Amino acid sequence: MGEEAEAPEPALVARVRAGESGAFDELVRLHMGRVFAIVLRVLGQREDAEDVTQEVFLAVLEKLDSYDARRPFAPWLYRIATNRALNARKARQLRRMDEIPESSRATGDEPDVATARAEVGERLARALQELPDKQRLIVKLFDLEGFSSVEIGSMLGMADGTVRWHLLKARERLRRVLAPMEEWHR
Amino acid sequence: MNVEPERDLELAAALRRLEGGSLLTEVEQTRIQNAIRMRAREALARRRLSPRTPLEAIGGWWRAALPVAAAAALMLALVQPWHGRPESETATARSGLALVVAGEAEEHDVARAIVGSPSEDLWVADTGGNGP
Repeated sequence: MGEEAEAPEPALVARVRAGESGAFDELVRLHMGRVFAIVLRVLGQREDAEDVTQEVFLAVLEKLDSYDARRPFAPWLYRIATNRALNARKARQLRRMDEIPESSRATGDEPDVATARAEVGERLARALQELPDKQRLIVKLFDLEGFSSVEIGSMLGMADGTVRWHLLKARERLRRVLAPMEEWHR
Repeated sequence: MNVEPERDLELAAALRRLEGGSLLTEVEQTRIQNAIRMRAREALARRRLSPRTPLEAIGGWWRAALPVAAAAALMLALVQPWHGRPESETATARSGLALVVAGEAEEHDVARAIVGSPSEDLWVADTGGNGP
């Protein structure tokens, strides 16, 4: 993640501001993965996440003159990505996923382990859905995607201490669901 | 709450099984990048055709600070209208104006308040007071 955030971008951004296609391509290539991850964790569906990722970069192009080049580019971009994704979720009223994805079923485990996994998976999915929106997103961005609490705070417009508090609460609830699975493995 | 927590790897693994990974395949990357390139064409062309004005080139809060600075300079100029002139002259002009405004001035005082003292007029002094 650091590699992308620390890229020498002021010159690249200046070239994009001047309308250079190659520079814009490079900017997209550098950040597309992280932007897609954020959007996917908000929306939960890859197809929607692809569309919104495109919209994020087009919005960046429109808003680039309001970006303060003395500040790091990535947090500014991630904030746009988060807002766009949250707006898209609101606008499209996406159906909540209450179905266990294929990836969690076909694990190749023994039948009883697979059954236990599936049960825990269902309960985890339910527990995840029952979390407040903010906590669900924070735990995904932190534990799944590896963003820091400072980065998440910047995306969601909250203090990093608040992010860590939400993370703690979310983990407590999800851990309760995971406990039986851990016992099964002992 | 001040220390960054460790990643919870077990929870992360369970969530990944449930939600799937977020890594883009090469095919997806290419598809997204091509779509963005197509859709951004017009906006990039607009940027190439209309280079930014000097005002647009100033980023961030400096842009907002410019009109404030201009207004402050104007206010300063209005508050100190006699700045740079000798004190005796400004006093004379002020008193002359005061008399005119109060309606107590003689005719020549009104003229002096409007055009200034004849002795200060270099052209009149050079021509011995026989100007047009």
